[in-house]
Amino acid sequence: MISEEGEPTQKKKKIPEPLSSFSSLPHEITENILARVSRWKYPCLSLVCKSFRSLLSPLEIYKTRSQIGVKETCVYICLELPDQPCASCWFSLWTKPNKKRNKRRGKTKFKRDSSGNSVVQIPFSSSPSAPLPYETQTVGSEIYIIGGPDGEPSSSVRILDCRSHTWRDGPNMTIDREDAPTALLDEKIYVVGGCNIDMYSTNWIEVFDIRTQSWTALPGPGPDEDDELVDDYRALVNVFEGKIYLATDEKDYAYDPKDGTWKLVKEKASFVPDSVMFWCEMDNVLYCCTDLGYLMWSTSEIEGREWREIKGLDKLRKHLKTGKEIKMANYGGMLLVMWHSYPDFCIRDKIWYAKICLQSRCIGLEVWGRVECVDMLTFPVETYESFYCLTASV
Amino acid sequence: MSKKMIVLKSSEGVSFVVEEAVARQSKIISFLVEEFPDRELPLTNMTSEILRKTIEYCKKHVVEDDGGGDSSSSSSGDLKEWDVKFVAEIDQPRLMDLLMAANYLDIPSLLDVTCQKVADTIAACNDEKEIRATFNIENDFTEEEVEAIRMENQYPI
Repeated sequence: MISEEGEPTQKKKKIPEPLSSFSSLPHEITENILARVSRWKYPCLSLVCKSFRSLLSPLEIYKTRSQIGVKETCVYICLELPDQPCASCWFSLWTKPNKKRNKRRGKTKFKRDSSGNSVVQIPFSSSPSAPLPYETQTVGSEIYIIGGPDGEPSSSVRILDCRSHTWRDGPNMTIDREDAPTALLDEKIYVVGGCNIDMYSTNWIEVFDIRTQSWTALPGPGPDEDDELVDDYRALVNVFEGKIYLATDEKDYAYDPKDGTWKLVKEKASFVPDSVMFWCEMDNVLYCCTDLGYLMWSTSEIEGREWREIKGLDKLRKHLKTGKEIKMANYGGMLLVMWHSYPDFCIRDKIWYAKICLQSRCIGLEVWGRVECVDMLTFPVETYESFYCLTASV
Repeated sequence: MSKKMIVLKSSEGVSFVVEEAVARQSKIISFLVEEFPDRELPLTNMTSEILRKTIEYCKKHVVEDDGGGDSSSSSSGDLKEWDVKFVAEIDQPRLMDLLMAANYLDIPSLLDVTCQKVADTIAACNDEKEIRATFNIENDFTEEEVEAIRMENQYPI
């Protein structure tokens, strides 16, 4: 075959105007193309021309994205501000493709985040104001905030649509709950406890069916089962093999949604010792961080359920052990750890974070972590009281 | 058993003789050969260059389902790599033409790779001006409209 480069004389004549551009493409093709571009580029894309702008309406573009299977993990950080009860300020981690980062001066232990490390405040247009995400459950591109914090029980459900950054109210639960842990199983959100089990033994659990957007109340393990369930605030709930597991300070229970029964799985379990500062679940594996900066993991094979250290993270632990507040989230299969090390009564406007790749080794007996990057976020606030870290796939 | 061939004719009137199995990856051609067997198919909105490229793609992606000994079907990893190289070698205007051809002929996998390549090119642009320049797009906003959109976006650009 004769290559075109071999015919310079002909090429000169051929170069002319581009035959096709976006103006000649059908709208659905342009939409298909735009849907494949990172959402962080959309503000820039909407300035290109009118047709781009109209195609980028959240309703349309995110429908196309889900049709062709395009997903990005978005990180949200909610800051609790001082002197304003329930005042929250939401930010998203601004991923800036192609951004070149300066090398960190001095000794560098870890790489910086090549995808950028700035935050941008999310302008929520709707009122009432955005809530603090005490107990949350991410379902695809939506974040559910369920119930109230410790001391402020509530039956409210607020839902953040991370595509359009709008809030809506979900149907209320049947009773008020505070600090109630949640788990997601088969398109249903299970909310466990957070209320007095003696008073509410028949609706100690509530299940939200995402498809029908309705609540169903279910009984707890039984009032005589355990006194500590009455007001246990360190309960850990997770899903394994189609069952909901509940670990309290001393005992492990399992709830089987198929027959609606509770089982006491283990006594004197102490699966959630005081040293566990924060935990999260990713793909059926639980991860936690201890007060000494150890990152641990556990699968839910209930026999001998125990925490094991994630190996390969010794250097990172030096950072984490000074962490005063540590949060974790699922960052598209990676573990995102966020922390601050400020002493009390100190002005706080920064949060540090690490992205960690996880790998299962030795037929699942070990989990190894590789730190992808460690970086810092600076927030345009005077100071914050505490922070929450959430992720959603959009 | 000899393979059935069909003839595709470009806008310049150049004929391309192609195995039917290759051409049938286009849903349109697949339909046309059933309706009009033994006819050559004129593709009047497609230049020889773009038609040649399209055929090159279809030849690579044809799945030999008759179990013939000369089966050239590659592994999916190899194919992906080949696709990336294939679209990387095409310049911007021709890539858009190829995308149009994939859309017109209804070849979903070719449409997929060309759309992705265009999306990657957009993503690599630094700002809206570069996107307009790269794709020859006219700016149909007024200054005021641009300002209004910037205010609305509130995100740094």
